[in-house]
Amino acid sequence: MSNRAVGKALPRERAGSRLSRYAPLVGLAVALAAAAMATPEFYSITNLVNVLRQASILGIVAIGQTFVLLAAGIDLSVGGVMGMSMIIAAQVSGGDDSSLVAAVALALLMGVAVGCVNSFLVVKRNVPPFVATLATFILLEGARDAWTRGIPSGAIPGALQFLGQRNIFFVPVPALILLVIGASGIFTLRRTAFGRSLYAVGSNPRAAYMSGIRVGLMKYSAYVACSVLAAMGGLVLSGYIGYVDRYLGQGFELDSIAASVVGGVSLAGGKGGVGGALAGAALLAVVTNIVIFLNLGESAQLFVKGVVIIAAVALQARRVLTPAAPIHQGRAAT
Amino acid sequence: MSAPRSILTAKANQRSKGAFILAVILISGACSDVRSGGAGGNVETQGQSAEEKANLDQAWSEDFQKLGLEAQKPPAGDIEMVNTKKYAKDGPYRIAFASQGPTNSWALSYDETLQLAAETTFDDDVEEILYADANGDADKQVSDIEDLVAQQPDALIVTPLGSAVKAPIERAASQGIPVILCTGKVDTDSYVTRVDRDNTLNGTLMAEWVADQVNARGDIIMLSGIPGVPTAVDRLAAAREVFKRYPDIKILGHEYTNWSPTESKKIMESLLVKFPNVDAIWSDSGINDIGVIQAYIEAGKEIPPMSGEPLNGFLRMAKEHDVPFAAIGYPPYHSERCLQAALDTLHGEPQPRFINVDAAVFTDRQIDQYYDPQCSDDLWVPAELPVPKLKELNLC
Repeated sequence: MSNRAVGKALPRERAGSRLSRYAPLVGLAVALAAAAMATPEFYSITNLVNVLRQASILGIVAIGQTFVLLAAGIDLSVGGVMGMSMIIAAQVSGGDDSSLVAAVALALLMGVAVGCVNSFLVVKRNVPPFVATLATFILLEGARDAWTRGIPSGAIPGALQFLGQRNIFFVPVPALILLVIGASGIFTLRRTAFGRSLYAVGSNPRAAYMSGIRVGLMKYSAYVACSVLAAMGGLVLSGYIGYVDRYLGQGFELDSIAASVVGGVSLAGGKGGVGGALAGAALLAVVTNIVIFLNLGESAQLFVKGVVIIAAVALQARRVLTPAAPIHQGRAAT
Repeated sequence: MSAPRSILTAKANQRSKGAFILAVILISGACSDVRSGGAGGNVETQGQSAEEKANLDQAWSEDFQKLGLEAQKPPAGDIEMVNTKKYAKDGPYRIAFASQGPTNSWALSYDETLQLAAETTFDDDVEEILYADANGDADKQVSDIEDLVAQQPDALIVTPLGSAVKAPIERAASQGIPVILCTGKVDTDSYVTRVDRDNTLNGTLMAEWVADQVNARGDIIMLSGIPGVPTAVDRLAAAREVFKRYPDIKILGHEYTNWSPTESKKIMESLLVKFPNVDAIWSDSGINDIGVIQAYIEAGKEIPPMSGEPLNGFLRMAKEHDVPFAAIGYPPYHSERCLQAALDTLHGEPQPRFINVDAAVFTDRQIDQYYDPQCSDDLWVPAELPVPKLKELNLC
């Protein structure tokens, strides 16, 4: 531990730290300003509602990913979990609202199971998180194909479509769900012993262990939370499309990591927070929307997305890529 | 559309393994030159196939008329005949099938059709189908083909998932194994015949019908599946050629949907804000249309005419919401024709280089002849598999 880590930060360093902390919000503001100049239609109510809905679904998954990243892990299985939760909802309910509770419960239970498998591999078997969760992802894909033979049958229940498609006073229901999950996430990380312990585990697991924190249990909790939130995201996304799309959830593993990292969550663990990840998800959704409005095509969409991620990470390079200094009160950003 | 979509699946994998795939392509390209001495040396041609050319001309002519449009001619070019005498041998035969794998309902129907034909129609001629499932992954298909060839089949049927399979196909051909390309293309001459639906025809039909719907004047949106996948590329290129001839048709936007209704809905929601008045939609697949229709329903707007494919789920939504459409088929059931071509080759019968398969072509006026409310959204109609088989596959 360096003296500076515990001492008072130099003014210049403090300013830099503040800049990097608010970088996702600054990026979002820049994107919104660019939208105002380039495509005024962006600010129509309909479009804002659309973007909010799309960002919310990514946001739900990104919150879970943030928990895992804070514990110095990574979860590549979220896309597979989302797809599987949709298939459970469709196959178990058969489109009938009366079986919805059972279908949702089973989907969430599947999320718990996948989270347990991921964390068991990481904590008990010392498998690197990247490999463990990639293996789980592949297993989920295989299980899905074996179950459905490539044809997920059934239908999405109407009540689930309410969650994915409807608005309440111009606010999409997914955004309201995100509001609840996001507030809970921020509260957990900032105000509870669990949150502080999670930062400690991600910053320096050895020190955390020495100070009596149950490191394994914290990691279990992070992976289970991530998979359960991915399962919820999958349910909301399947409600949004209202159709059994075999490829549902595809790409969310990388998008959720990108949203978190753009939002200032460190890949090395122990830094960042839910607020940043949400700003990151919003930024990605806004940028994608603007590129479609500008009719720039698929290659430009990927290019712009890549540039945004690089710019965001470059702005906060030290923050994102270096491990956190040992935990001290008030370090956690949201 | 599944072949395209599974080629797509491959795409998802390809994206994540981009560098690796690039390396495979480069290495396999290099290897092919060294080992097979270049393409074209393994297959002997013998003049042109007047019959197959006439079939293609007829498809171009009749399919336009089915949509109430003026008949057209295919782009110039003859179809070569391939001399297959050197492959002739006595049966029954062991046929290798390097499939994309049942990654969706199109691909499942495609595989099952071939297997069923081997057990019934061609039972006397087929000793065994050596099957390899690439799970939509072009990388895996390279090793699949190598494994199949090692079992010394009498003929090899390949559903190519990407250019990486060029080298193993050329190596198989250089060992004297006749190769049948079934759905899709590879940049090589080392195959006997390619059995497929002419995607240039499908793209042209879709575009001419859209142009007709807007009376050659209007604002349209174009939606394709996956960039770089031949099915999407050929249809899009053909459509763009058509729209060049209609200067008063303005293409407001063109987007790729990855053949996912979720993606197409997201894209269409945004486009509808930017362009509230769209006169028609050129879409290369019924899968895109499912998301498009949902976006229109939620926006509370009247749904414009759109091109698509005869996928039961799309037809259901079109019927429920009175959507004007033209459905241009890409039947998964043509895998049986591929097996027949392989057997004909082993009988020593000359084969045309390209065999175009017939497909259903119709509009919303004939929807009741095609839409099957008793069957799953995933069924590609008109179904050519027997009902018990469709039930077994959960398609009906």
